[in-house]
Amino acid sequence: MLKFILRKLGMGLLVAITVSLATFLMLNLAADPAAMVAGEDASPQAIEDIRVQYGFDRPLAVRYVEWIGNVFTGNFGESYYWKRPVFDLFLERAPVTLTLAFSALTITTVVGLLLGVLAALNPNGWLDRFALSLGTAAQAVPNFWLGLMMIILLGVMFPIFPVSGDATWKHFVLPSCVLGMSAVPQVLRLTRAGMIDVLGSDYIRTARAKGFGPGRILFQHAMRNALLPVVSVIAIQLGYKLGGSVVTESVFALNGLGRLAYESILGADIPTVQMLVFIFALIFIFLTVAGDVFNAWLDPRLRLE
Amino acid sequence: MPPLLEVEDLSVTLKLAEGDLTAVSNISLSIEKGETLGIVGESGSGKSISSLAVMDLLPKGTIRKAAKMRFGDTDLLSVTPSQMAALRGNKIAMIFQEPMTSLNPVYTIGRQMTELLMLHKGVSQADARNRAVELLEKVGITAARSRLSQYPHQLSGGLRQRVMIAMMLMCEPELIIADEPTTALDVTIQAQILTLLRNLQREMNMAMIIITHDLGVVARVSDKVAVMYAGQIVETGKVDQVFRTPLHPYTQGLLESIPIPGEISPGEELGSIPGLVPSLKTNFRGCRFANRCDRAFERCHTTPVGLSETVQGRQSRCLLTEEAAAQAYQAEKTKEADTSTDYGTAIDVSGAPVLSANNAECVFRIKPNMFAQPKLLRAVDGISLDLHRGEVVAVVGESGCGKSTLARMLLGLRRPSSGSVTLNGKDISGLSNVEKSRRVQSIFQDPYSSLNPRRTIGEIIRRPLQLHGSGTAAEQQETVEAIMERVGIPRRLYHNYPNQLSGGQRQRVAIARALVLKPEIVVCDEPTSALDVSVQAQILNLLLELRDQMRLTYLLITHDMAVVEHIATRVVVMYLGRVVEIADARTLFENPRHPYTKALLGSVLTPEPDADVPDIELGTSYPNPIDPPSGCTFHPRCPIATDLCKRSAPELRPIGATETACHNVAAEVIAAE
Amino acid sequence: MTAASTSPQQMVGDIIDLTPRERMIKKAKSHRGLQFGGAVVLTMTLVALLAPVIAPYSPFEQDLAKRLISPVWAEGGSWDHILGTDQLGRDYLSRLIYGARVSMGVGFGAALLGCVIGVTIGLVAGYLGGRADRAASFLLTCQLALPSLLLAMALVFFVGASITTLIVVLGCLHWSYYMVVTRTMTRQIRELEYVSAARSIGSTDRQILFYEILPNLSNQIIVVFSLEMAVVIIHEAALSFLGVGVQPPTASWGLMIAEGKEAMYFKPYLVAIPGAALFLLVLAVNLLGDGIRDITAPEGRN
Repeated sequence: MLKFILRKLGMGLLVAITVSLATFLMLNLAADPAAMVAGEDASPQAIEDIRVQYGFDRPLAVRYVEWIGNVFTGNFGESYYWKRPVFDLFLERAPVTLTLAFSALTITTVVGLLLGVLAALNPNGWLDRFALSLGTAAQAVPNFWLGLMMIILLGVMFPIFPVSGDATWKHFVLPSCVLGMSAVPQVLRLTRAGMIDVLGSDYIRTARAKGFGPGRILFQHAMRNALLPVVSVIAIQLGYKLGGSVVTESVFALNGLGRLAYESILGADIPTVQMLVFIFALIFIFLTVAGDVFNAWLDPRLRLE
Repeated sequence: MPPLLEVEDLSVTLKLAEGDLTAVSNISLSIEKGETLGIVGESGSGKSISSLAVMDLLPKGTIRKAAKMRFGDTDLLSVTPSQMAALRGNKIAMIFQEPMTSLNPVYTIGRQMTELLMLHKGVSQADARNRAVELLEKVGITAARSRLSQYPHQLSGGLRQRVMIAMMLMCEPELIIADEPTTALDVTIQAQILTLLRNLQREMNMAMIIITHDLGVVARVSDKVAVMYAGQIVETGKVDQVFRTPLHPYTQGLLESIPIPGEISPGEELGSIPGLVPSLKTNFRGCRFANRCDRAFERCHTTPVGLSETVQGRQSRCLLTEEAAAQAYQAEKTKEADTSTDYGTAIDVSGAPVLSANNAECVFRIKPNMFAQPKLLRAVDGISLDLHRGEVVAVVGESGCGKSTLARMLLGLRRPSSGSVTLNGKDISGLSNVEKSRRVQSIFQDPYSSLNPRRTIGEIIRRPLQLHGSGTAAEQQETVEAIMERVGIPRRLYHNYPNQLSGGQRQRVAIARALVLKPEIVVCDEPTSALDVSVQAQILNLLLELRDQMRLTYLLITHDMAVVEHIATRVVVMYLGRVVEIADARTLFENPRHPYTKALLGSVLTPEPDADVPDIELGTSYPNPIDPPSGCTFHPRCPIATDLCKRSAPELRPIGATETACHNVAAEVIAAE
Repeated sequence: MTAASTSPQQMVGDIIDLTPRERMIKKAKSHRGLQFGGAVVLTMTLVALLAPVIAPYSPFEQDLAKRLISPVWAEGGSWDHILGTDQLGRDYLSRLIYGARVSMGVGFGAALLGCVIGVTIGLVAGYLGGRADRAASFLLTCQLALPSLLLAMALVFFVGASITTLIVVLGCLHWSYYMVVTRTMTRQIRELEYVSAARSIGSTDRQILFYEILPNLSNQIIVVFSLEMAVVIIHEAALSFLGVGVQPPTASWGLMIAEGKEAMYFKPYLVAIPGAALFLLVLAVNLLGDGIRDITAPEGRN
């Protein structure tokens, strides 16, 4: 089992390095970084000064090796915009986004799993139709628009929840619901499909032939098998929630990582963008490995060496 | 004493999107304590659905109706769901076809076995485990206690089916229903499982219902038999009566379509039932078999036919009088097999072979993951084989023996790792795809996956001509239509798609595609095993006929010894990638030498009601080809293995008229001389 | 009973099913989601193509005297401006009609680019297997690990926002779903006997890929195309909403929502209308995709 985890983590590290290299190249080649830092009206001389000052004149390869070398010592570089170590910025902003991501994920999981299982119990029944319609609608609704409509409805017309800032838990209710809704369709559909599949399988027929009642069949014999694919998706979704928080945070004026990403992009702050992409990728990789390990614990077939 | 289970007028209707479909119509069954009832029928006959109806395991939205359904003292029509659940697994147990998927993959064997006993009998975990060990031993599983902590995927198919049987016996049921319990297993394992089931049934005095498409299985293990066709029982009675003097034309047709040595000579055309099983959506007016029956008369098509009792306990759903029916069948049967037939003997094997493998080897490198050391799997381990014009060479062996890999090498689809394959003396790897395919063609096992679903029948058969650029479009179409006619596909199906055809028709299309280039050699990989019994005979007859007409040479890959005996001229027996015996067909069937060949032949279940299930003295499982046993790879399963066999691998050497790879057989023959 | 195997009575020609096309049409006739989705997508496509013809006003023409007129159904609305006007007095309906061009154009273009990339990688990886497959799956993991919306924002902003940039960036970041589906299907089909049969009648690898495999993938690819198009449309709107996508004064639904945001407390229609249009389009594209999946899904044997 340990070997299994280590191998997955090793693979993840390789992915992380590749991703960071790709990001580095893309961000630096998309435009002239010196010109962007200097701003729109800068003179050619000012641009050249900045190029030398920030070291943009050195070859890309050298700069990347330097960057990744520093990363291994915990140094993500200095922000051009805020003139501070970017990792400090990250630590400052992370709590808001983590709170948002986890509460959104809880909503996704509870709503998605519950509706998915209930829908699967009676395919084509009214509950199934309702769940599928809800899923289709939730998939089609743009996140930021849903946020705005909720602000108009629940923040202004019927002021139940505060609509901007992160002062209390109440501030997180609307953004979590909005962010949480966006992943409900995937979890719901996958749970439903997995459950229908498992309930129609030969070994569930065996369990029925053994004389088990519907409750025990559902919870003891079917649930574990049906959850397998859902676990991976939930892990992936948590990763996306962090990255996707950029829109939600902007709508609800939350000062988290998404907001930081937004500001640093507009400020052409390459070190911050580079760090955020890298950390989000790391979190994503860690979550998928965790999902794999959890699945291996659920399913003995995956433990095979 | 009243029967243990009594079912009267059971009908099952499936609610489908396109409308209702009555899968089972008014069947009646009864079974006494200690008795075995066989229900036999082709796919779609309703045999499995009727047993699920008894167990109340039908899928949702299915309607079950019956005049009477009683088990012991319980009226199955009026029990509550929880009372029914208390019977299932406890008094009535069921064994399913697919041992690979019928056990829950995420729980241990032990848990799945003990939970059953704890549920119904409320015993302690420890007692349940002891009982599980006892039963695992009873079904012939060694190291039973350690098996309890294993997961299903760690066991072979045969072992899983034993576990399934042991599990279902945990509560000592009074009735056990086995739905195709051996269909997914290899032939040697099949015989072992059947022996086991029969012995347990006698020992525990259970009633047993065995559901199968295999007449051989029914004949060997059951006391009574019910033959089902299109949702109805068409004939029922004691096994020896039904098999000796079948009354219903369908039963007669089924029995005739199985090649039985001594009753039909090799190469002779088999009896076959023309046409297809009707769709159950049909609105039947008369006898459901009438359109396929060669003795049907007008009334058969217009009046519903009921089951009529003839002798005590014997019923048939046919308007023909008993004598008329029986006579017609006897007339067919008295046509004795012509033992002097020269089938296959006229082939000249002294000339140059058309296709030959010379010490060909095929090795796969198996890498379980990126970092592991690759392991070698010798799928084909040094095989030499010559095919002469006009021969029908059968390669037989159980799954995993490498016979399909051998076929792929001979087709030039896979390059040998060492050794060579030559076609008319030229190395096949040096020939272009086009040259190869002009001479060697193939017919595959599964007609449902061997035809591209997005192409029409005409396009599929014409494709080889296009690839080879032979003729103008008009000429190609003409050739295609000619070959369609020859294999028995009506010309008007040219623009239809494979999904519109039945399995038998699809296999005919596959045959047409293989023959449209007029090849010399056709490799047939299990050409009939995916088809229903009555259709199998049609395809075998077609293959035999085409061989004569087109002077074809066949390489037949199969596990079905009855088919081999019927059409092969020479037989190659494979075990774990090696040839263990090779001989011309008659010699091999009359005098098999190698213990594995003997076991294979012994496990053939011909539908003979007097015969018992053969005892196969083989260790339970087929070894893992990645990790083959030392010396003679067959030694762990061999009843006559000695120390020598564990140490050294025997060479294939001529012994009498056969070539055999066995130390003991060689020693015996030398001693005798 | 021993009828010759080619005798007329055995030339059974019973057709047991409809042709694939007939079956699709039959199912489509009773599939409401598909019909609705198809109708909306078709209408929106026509609206986008014919925007200059059907738009009542220019989408750019400002008239500060006519600022913030309410839609016709609200108080103060008139038939002159059915959906009212925005803060700069531009006709909202005209902007909405022109906005459809951006959504449809970027959605279609980026989904097509992603399709070409993903299907190519998937086909090669699935058909060749082995090393090529491992390389492709590594690439896939990397792609999935990238926070795509964030990266898209950065790239579009750095390169300079334009419709072309949006299409290229979004297309290059949305190929993974195509690749997964194509690879899985190719792998399955590669093992089917009709591919072995094709090889044994002399087909080359290329002939197998294009004649045997690709036609069997087309339905699935169309399904993925529609689902991805829906995702890309939302992403374009999100980028434009955040100000890094389509730039003013071009009309894009996302941008309209952003511009309307400032006045949304007293004129909620400014946000509600373009959002509803977006929702309707994405819903229709999804329903169309699901519908195609339903009507082309293979059925069990018989």
